[in-house]
Amino acid sequence: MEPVLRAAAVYGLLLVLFRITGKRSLSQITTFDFILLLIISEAIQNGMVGSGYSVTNAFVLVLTLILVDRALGLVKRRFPRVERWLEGAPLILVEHGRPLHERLARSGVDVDDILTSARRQHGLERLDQVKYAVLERNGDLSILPWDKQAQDDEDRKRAA
Amino acid sequence: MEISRAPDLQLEEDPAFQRRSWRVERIGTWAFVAILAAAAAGLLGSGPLSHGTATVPGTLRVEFQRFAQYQSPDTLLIHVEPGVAPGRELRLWFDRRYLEGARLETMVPPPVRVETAADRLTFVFALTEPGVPFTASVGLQPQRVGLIHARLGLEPADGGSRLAFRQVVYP
Repeated sequence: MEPVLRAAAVYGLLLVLFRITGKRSLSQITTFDFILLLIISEAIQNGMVGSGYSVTNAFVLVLTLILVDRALGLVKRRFPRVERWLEGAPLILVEHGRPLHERLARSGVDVDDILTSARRQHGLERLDQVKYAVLERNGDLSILPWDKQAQDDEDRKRAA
Repeated sequence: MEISRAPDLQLEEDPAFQRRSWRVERIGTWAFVAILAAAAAGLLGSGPLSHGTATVPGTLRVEFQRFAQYQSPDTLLIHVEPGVAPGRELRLWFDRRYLEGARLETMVPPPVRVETAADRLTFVFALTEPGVPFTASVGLQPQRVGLIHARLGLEPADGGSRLAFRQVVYP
């Protein structure tokens, strides 16, 4: 019983921890984020494994983590409100080329992040080419460029 | 399952295989849920279903884990009624083969001395308060997978009492 409780407790703890400390924690890993994840996994190991060095213990720990995760997935699908608490909601950060500064500041995203994603996803060059930038629930930054046709019309008009 | 027709897609679906896969997934998941429930109840060690007691009424009581795990801590609680041990010494013996299968790690309180014999190890404790029940906590670590036959007892000169119980050790 003890390994089941330990694993469930560690899962719950990490869930709350990562949820509360902010969306960007796990997506788009930087080198520092990667190091942080490695250190975190080392730190929780002892709390979870305890002193049981048996294969059975390892099996029960992993089984608990996987099943708790699946069960949570089922609960989220059945109860949308729970999903909202656990996952959050998407957030618009740039609107029609204009950065929404308070939202950016509070989300811990800066304009450079937006531009990086814009270059990576669509090969865009400037912020005014971004129609919408959305911070998704899982921490990804989605860039929606202006409609290609409309963009070409604009470019043609500008050239004329 | 809905039939999907996509002649322009270069793809090899296999609906029968998919249905079987889903079935295997469903059955497997429920099997794992059952295993988890068993583990939570203690069938894989440390839990209500794992807690066992062996008694010699009025004399000796041992609390043990029916299910233990290889190279993981396994604790025995040994209770001796007051007045059972004559004099100011309590002599507790463990079968040698038992201790070979489950290595002794800790003993609280520590014995005053340990006597070896061909078939057993005897731990001698000093009783500072003879009228008070004696409790010892023994930490073991199973060194073998499978069934452990535990044998232990008290050694007063007039015959003593003995207990035997079994433990299942998971890998």
